[in-house]
Parts: sequence; C-alpha cells; structure tokens
Amino acid sequence: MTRCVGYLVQESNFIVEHVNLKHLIYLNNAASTWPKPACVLNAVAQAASLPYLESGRTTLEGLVSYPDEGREALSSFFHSGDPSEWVFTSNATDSLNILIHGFAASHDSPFHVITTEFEHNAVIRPLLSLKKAGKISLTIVPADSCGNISPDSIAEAITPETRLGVINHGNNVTGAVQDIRAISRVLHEDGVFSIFDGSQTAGQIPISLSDTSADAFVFTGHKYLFGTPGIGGFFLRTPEPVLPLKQGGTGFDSASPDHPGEMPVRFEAGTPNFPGIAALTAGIRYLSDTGFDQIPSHLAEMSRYLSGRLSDLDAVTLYNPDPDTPILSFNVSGTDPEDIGLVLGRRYQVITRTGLHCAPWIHQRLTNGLGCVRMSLSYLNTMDQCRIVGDIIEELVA
Amino acid sequence: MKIVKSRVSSKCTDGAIVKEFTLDIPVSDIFLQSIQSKGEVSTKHLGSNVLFTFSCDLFSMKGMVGDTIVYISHRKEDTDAVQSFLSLLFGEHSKLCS
Repeated sequence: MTRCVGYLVQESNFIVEHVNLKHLIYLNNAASTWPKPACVLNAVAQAASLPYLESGRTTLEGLVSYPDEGREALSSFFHSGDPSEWVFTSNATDSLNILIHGFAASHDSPFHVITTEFEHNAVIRPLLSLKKAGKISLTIVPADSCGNISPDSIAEAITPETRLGVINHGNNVTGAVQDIRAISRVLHEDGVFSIFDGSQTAGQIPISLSDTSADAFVFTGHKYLFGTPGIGGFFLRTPEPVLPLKQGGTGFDSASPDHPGEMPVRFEAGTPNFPGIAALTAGIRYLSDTGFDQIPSHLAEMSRYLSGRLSDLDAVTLYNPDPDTPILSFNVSGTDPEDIGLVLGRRYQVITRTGLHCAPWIHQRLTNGLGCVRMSLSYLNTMDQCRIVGDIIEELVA
Repeated sequence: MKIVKSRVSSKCTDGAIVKEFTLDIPVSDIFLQSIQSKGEVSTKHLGSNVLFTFSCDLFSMKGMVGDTIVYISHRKEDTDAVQSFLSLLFGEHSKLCS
C-alpha cells in the first residue's frame, strides 16, 4: 500500500520554506506524529474553508457535522457502543483533568485512588493536587520485573476506601502496554471507577472497549491517530460518577439556565474544534483503511531492527529491548542524553526527545531521574530511516 | 560573530533559564580558544562531532563545533549581565577574526 504523506504533497508550498524536510528523520512520534497522512491535511483544509453546519439544523445540504462523524468514527474504531459516549476535548491532559477532578468533585469525603508508576504528569499532577488538598489518598503501584503492572498488584492495592483507579495503558518511556481487560475487570469487580490513559496506544494497537470493563478511556488526536494538535477526548461508559466542570453554550436548550446533563454535551461547552475533529476523523479512517493487520507488523519490524542495533552497542543502555509499542529509550554511557539529542538533531536531522518525557516516576526508577533519549516510531517511518539511524548511533558511540 | 536571534528554550525549577541562541557563523575551534581566558572550556567527542561546554560565574554555554546554535543557562536575575558578557565575548571574537 502506498503511504502518501502530507509533507510530500505540500513540498512546493510554505512547509519547506525554512528547512529541508526531505532529509528529516522524525522519531518523536510519542509526542506528536509527523508527517500526517495527506487525507488528514486535506480534511483540515476542507473544514477550515467551508461554512460550519449549524447544530441541529440542515440549512445547507451536503455540509458535514464534524462532531457527529467524529463520534461515529471513534465508536467504530474502538468498538464501543453509542457514539454519544465519546466526548471531545483539547487533548489527553484536558480529558484526564476533566475526568479526575470531575470524579473527585462528586465525592464529599476523601477517598483512596490507585495509580501506577508509569503515569504521565497529565495524571500525576492532578492526582497530587487532590492529595495536597486532602481530598484523596494515593497508592502508586510499581511495575513488576518485566515492566508490567500485574492485575494482581492492582487487586492487592484496593482498600475499602478505594473509589478510583487511573491506569496508564501504554507507557511513553518504555513502550509497555498494560492488560486493560484484566485490570479493568479487577477494578470493576470491586466497584472502583477506572480511567485508562490511552494516549500512547490509541492508533497503535487494536483496542476493543466493549471487551473491557473500563469506565473511561482517554485519547489524544495528535499522536498515533494522526490528527492535529488541539483535539482529544474520552470515552465514558456512564456519565453520572463524573461531575461536569464546564458550563456554557451548547447550541440548543438555550433558554435553560442549566447546562444540559446528557452525553456528550454534559462535558462539552462552547464551539468545538471543527478542523481538529475533521483531522481526527480522517486520521481514524486512514488507520482503518490501512488496517491492524499491517500497522503492528510494520511497527514491530522497525522496532525490532532498532532494538537489535542498539543492543549490539556496549556503550548503550536500552531500557526496554522488547517494547509493545515502538518506543526505544536509551542512554549512552558517560554521555548526557541532551548531548546525544543535540547531535542527532543538529548534525543528522534525526529528531528525538530527551529528558524525563513528563514521566518523572518511571524515570526515577529507570534513570535515577537523569532522563534519557527516546526514539518513537510511527507507521509512517520507514525501515530505510531505521537503518540510517542505526548507523548514526553506531558511529556516535564507536 | 553576532547573535541573530534568541529564545527561551526551557525554564528549570531552580530558577535557571535556558536560552537558545542562533549565531551568524558557526562555532569554531578558534572561537573556543578565544574564550578560554574567560572561563572553563571542556570538549567531548561523539563520533566525529565535538561538543563543548563553557562555564563561568554568570552562565554556562553548550553547543557543537561547526554549529550556529548554542544553549546558554543562567539565573533569571542575571539576564542583563549575561547579555552584556555575551556581546563582549562574541564581539571580541569578531575583532580577532577581522
């Protein structure tokens, strides 16, 4: 299958005015994927150029209701039920804040929360702010020796006061993916509300929410769903446990002083990000058309290759040689990871991400809080790029 | 040697800021030699690439020989003093090369 990518389509235009993107090897996809499929760029352009459909009316035939199409695409892609279970937000951080603080707001007395050492600051900081305010107590479940969170360790952490579990689905440093089915079942059986952070898994691996007991599943559009920054959202099975934190215009029921309580507008107020939703929908369609028979095999082939190259180098410490998603985090003995990132970026136009990756807890365990170099691949990376990067790193540490 | 543009790259929890400076010409071995009397210069080889660090009382500077980008870390309250020092540092090197 031809993988038509956006920057080639736009090559003669403004995008390549300042830098030569032809030689860029972009390995920072865990932060934001690049390039985007051409269909995504076209969808943004179309959404930005056409008038937006008035909510609830068909003034003009043929115009698209981006939120409706987006929710249907999400529901189909993640095998959930009613599309109205999907709420649009700005990104995963926004979603996690809405869910965590909204859940806490529905409780009058302090309660216990379970989370994991894999969490991103988008989870850590909201939870720690609630803990500091005396609203929750917190148990941080560590990963086992294989780098996974065992469902048994989650079960052991549950106390009579436990009301909430916020669990990382895919880690942005190690590439480890947790067993959402088993962990959500364990939490559900004890009546614990579960939120899964799918920022690193949505679009990377097949996810069937109907096969899980997850109460909420968070995604962002700009990573592996190939959308643009500024769009994200969450799936929420039953809305009642989470109080809405925002009120405002919804386009209907305007005479009422109260914000509507039904899904999805219960958590949505104000004008939606139409171009962002259009991009997300196009990205999901691109992934659906490509298929999960092709995507994981290509990602695994690239990941295995780079893992093998790095593992062969004595000076390199690779933190997870067999990741579930194509993330390769490493350090070079005696060298500041920032220096490696600087040389890769400035000399070779290989874009990686260095530092703590907003995941200080897992970095404390893996790198003593010193950080590392992370290479994260997307479906639009190529084996040729991996070979070039393997050669460059070999040369750097020789 | 002149600063073409600068931007704040990151802010540290200890109050330090890191600025990225773009220079009009790449950092050279001659430049590194010229600043040795102003502070401590150390270099590190990564393959064929030479990374350098310059540190003095006011700030530390990091970059790569042959590159036009350098990163300078300093305390926020020293911003003006660092700017003056850098103008002197780069200006002296320009005179040396002219």
